[in-house]
Amino acid sequence: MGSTTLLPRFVACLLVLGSTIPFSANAHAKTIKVVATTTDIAYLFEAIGNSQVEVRTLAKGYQDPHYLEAKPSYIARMRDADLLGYVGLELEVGWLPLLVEGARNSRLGAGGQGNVPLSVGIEIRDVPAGEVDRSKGDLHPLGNPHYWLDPRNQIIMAETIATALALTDPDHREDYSANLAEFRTRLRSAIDRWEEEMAPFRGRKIVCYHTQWEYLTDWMGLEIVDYVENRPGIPPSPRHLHELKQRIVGEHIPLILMSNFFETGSVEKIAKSTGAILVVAPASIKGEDSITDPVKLFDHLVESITAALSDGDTP
Amino acid sequence: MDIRLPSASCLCPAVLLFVAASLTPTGSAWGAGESTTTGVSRAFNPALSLNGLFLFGLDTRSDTESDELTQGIEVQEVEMRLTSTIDAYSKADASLSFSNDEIAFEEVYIRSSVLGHGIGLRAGRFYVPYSIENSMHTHQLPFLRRTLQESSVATENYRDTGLELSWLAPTSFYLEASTALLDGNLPGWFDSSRSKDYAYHGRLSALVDLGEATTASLGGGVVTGRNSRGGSSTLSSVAFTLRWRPLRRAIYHSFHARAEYTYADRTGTESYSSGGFDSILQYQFGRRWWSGLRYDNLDPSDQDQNSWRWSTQIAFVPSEFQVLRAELSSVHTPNDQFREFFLQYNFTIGSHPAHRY
Repeated sequence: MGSTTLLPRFVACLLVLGSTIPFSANAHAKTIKVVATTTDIAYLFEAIGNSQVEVRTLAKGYQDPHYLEAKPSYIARMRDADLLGYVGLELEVGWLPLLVEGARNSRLGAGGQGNVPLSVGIEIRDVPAGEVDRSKGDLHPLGNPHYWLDPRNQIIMAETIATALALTDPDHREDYSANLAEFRTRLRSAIDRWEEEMAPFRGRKIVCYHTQWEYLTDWMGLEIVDYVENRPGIPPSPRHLHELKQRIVGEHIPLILMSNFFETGSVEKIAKSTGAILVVAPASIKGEDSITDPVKLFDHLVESITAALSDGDTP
Repeated sequence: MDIRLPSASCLCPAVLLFVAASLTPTGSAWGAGESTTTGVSRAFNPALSLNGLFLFGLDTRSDTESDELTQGIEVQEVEMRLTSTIDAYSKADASLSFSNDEIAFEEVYIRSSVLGHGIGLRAGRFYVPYSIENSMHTHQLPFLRRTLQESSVATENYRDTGLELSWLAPTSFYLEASTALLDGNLPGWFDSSRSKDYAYHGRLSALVDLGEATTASLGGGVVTGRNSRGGSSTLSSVAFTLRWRPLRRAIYHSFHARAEYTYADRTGTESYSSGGFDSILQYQFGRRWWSGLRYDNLDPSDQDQNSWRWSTQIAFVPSEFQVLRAELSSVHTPNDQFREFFLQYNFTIGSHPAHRY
């Protein structure tokens, strides 16, 4: 078989391939197709977009969003998406670039009109000063990306989403604005209540498993004095664990906080040997079945943390 | 702040340079604008990474004249990877490998999805993905040696220069088709002297979710073109893959199984054909630990040419940026039977793009 016969066959394959492309598949879509990397972002899109959006979520609420696999089935969800809402600050850097590239959807790439980083407008903390290297573990060079764990930031995220939806669908701008106002009112009311509940515990010291609760504890007025993972993403050494136990006992630290996608075995042993209370908490909406919105998420966090701190006060 | 300079007459050139340097502090608002006048900006540098592979090998063969390492310690490969956007329309990737005092451009290509409708373009030099194994860089290979079948086709992965068009189908599951027009440059297979003898590649891949933790995929590829023996050559492959990773404990446990059959056929003078398969099982049994088992077989239906190999592997992964792998193989060839042991250390520095699923 010579190239004179192969080339026409190759061109014929291209024509067959091209003829199957549904050129109008997305042009007349009535709802805005949104892909959200986390359940928290997905909830906000649904709350603000309401019936105008169709939201697909990539990470489950009980999943560590750092370590998703770039499954091609996610790519299929992104092919026709109008908007991509993501945490940013390189939280999803291990998998999202592959999905965006695989989706071949230029709207979702950097600079695309559907690219919506939810970190916009948020005061980012823990931005490393000076040189960054991996001897310090899995540092985020652009700063701590777990900002959704401060409920005040959820309002800023909702504002960003309302803006993105209004730009994509100006006809429903007023709907998005009204939904945002309703969400803002509801969350602000809850924030006032939570702050009141946390007030007696302000200034208390706690230990966390991993660097992810800083926005939450900063808002609650708690002080993280140490971590089980003293270098993020790196299993701790026996020496560090020994020193940590001594510190928990010596400083009467009542609480160890960790998220529910880590194995708890080693931390349970620390809690048992020191008398501290281990709180294993969801870090996102749908991290547990009953947690279906931000109010329930922070209700759960505030309730479990205040309960542990109260128990820690009991002689 | 009032800065008083000493009179110029008492300053040597070195002191002047020092004073000038102290007046343009790096990291300040002044420093940020320097590239406007110097033309030296690092803001748009590509992401740069380097993989280093070191290999220690032992085997029980008396004859070690193979061109592949079987005994001793060597730098198996050093790979440098550069990735960046070119402009608003396309990106570029380049990977250079350094091994045995040779430097090679493994891949240099641009890619773009500006056409929309699920269409992707790739142009340049790239590994031809007719099989899963052939599209992998050395540090990505699940086992330390390429499969018997891939090694029988060529000593290195088949890479070629051309244009690839891929399409993601608008289906509820993942379905991707790709086709490529290639220069046709693989010694012994696509090496016709006529300049218009191109090679043609096509691939179809599908993946479905079997629950939230498990995926199954099926894919096949073929590349065909003219050879220098007056005939045509065809390389083809079909692979089935099963992956499992529990979402709640994603960093602690996972499982990967793959079976791939590859067929190579060449007509003309010295016609040749061979088929072979490999089956791989990998299990992550701890946050830092992996184990693996592979069986690969070349020409199982030909008693005179049949070769097969069992390999078992254990890997220690302190972090995602380095891995130590030990592998023991039992190899049966038409003329010999022997065992091989390899120890490989692999590190990555810099910003290395994530690997495909």
